[in-house]
Amino acid sequence: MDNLIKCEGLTKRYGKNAALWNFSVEIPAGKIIGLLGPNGSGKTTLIKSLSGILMPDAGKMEIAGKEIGTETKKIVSYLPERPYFSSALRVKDTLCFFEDFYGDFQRKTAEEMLKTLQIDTNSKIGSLSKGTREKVQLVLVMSRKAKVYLLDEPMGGVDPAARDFILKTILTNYNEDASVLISTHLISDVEKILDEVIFIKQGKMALYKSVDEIRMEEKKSVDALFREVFAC
Amino acid sequence: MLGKLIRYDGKIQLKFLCSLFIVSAVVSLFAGMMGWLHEAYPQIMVLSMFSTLALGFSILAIFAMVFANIVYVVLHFRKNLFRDEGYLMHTLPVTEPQLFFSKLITGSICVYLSIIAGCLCACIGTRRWDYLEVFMNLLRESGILEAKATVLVLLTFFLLVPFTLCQFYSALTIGYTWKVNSNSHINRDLLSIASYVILYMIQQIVGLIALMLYLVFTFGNPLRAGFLERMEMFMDNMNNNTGEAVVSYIQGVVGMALGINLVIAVVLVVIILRRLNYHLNLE
Repeated sequence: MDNLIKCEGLTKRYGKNAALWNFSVEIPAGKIIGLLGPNGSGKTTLIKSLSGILMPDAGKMEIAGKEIGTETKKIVSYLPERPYFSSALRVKDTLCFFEDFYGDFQRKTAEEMLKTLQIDTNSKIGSLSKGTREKVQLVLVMSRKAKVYLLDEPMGGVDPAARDFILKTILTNYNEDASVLISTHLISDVEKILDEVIFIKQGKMALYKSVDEIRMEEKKSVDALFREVFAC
Repeated sequence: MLGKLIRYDGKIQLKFLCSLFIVSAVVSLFAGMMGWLHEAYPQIMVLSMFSTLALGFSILAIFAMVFANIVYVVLHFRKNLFRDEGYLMHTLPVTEPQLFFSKLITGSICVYLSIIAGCLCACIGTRRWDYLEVFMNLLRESGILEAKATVLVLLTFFLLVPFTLCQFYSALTIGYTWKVNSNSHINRDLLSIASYVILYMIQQIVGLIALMLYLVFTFGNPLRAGFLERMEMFMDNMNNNTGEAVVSYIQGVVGMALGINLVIAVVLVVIILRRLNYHLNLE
């Protein structure tokens, strides 16, 4: 199977600090991959670079054989770690917005999910709690039939019940030709849905293995291996 | 896609302008009513005082509306492209020029509309509808109504809005895309203000150089004899209000200012697009 995401020698510096240093990776289609690492290891930098909102200092990136740009943005569904909708908008406005700009957005799916979550589409974004706002964003992002889903800390600020919903949403909505890249600290929560994991340490790749391999070879859970690799 | 972006940006910005216009129109209407009451009952002194006060407030409201609208348009650019909303806008399948021009077009339209709304409120507040005629008379008295200069003056006024917005947008773009050390915690807004000051100074220097070139072009080499005499003769013509001299002066100066502003605007747009394309760093 062709690789969907290709990064070669990716470097991003902030002053003297390198958030990513000569980072290379090839990610195949049809996998859910956990991007794991401690704070400041470069996870968000990698996701932002792939989504096109951060320009790397060096290196090459390709998604589905195309350099990062308008064409890749059509097939990438990105969930940042912060709320990005204007608080003045209503939930239904955000649905219209996604429908207008993304050809692969499935409004019906999004409306059904919002209904399940009992989120009123007439509510203003500003009146929703932080957790509900995150759910709305996730619903919108996962209602696209994208080829790549880049999810940056999708469970960062939500309660355990909501985390289960988020995981279920990811599992049931991504299509099998797509890849999902999830950056998170909550390894034990996310571990059950991951196919592969990438450990990032100080901007470099520390490990790229399938979850099954880790369990078979290391006889450990991903969470336990993470604690071992990144022990302070 | 540009059309969709314009619709989205326009909706947000027009909503704000409409709320400002309603407030301003109500204040102006009140001022107009007080003025009418004062005219109907000139013997009541309180009405005279209220009428003057209301008119003052109405003028203040008009200026506040236009000013607040310009500030909102600039802040919308900052919020929508460089703050949290930027995470959505820059991941849309649209090009950076489309993002920028949608803001420039909708921002300019909003500022024009706020100026028109301000004029309308002024007419309501003062109950006079002949300001356009007054303006035309002013042009007629200056002797430039039927000249190419009128077109140049109107074009300059018209382009002043997008040009000013380009200045603000470029300062914000430079301030928010300038690469800094992640540990330095530099305030991006302060960096934008500093960029604005530097850009403004550069523009002034360019303007001065252009003015000097214009003087040399009009009156000849300043190092040769007769330069001052030629300038004095021109000034005398201006003082005597010779129509031809005034028209020629306005055409020359306004045309030059327009040309410089256009060149600077193009340079600023190129800077903005280059920085958005190659140096975008949403932290």
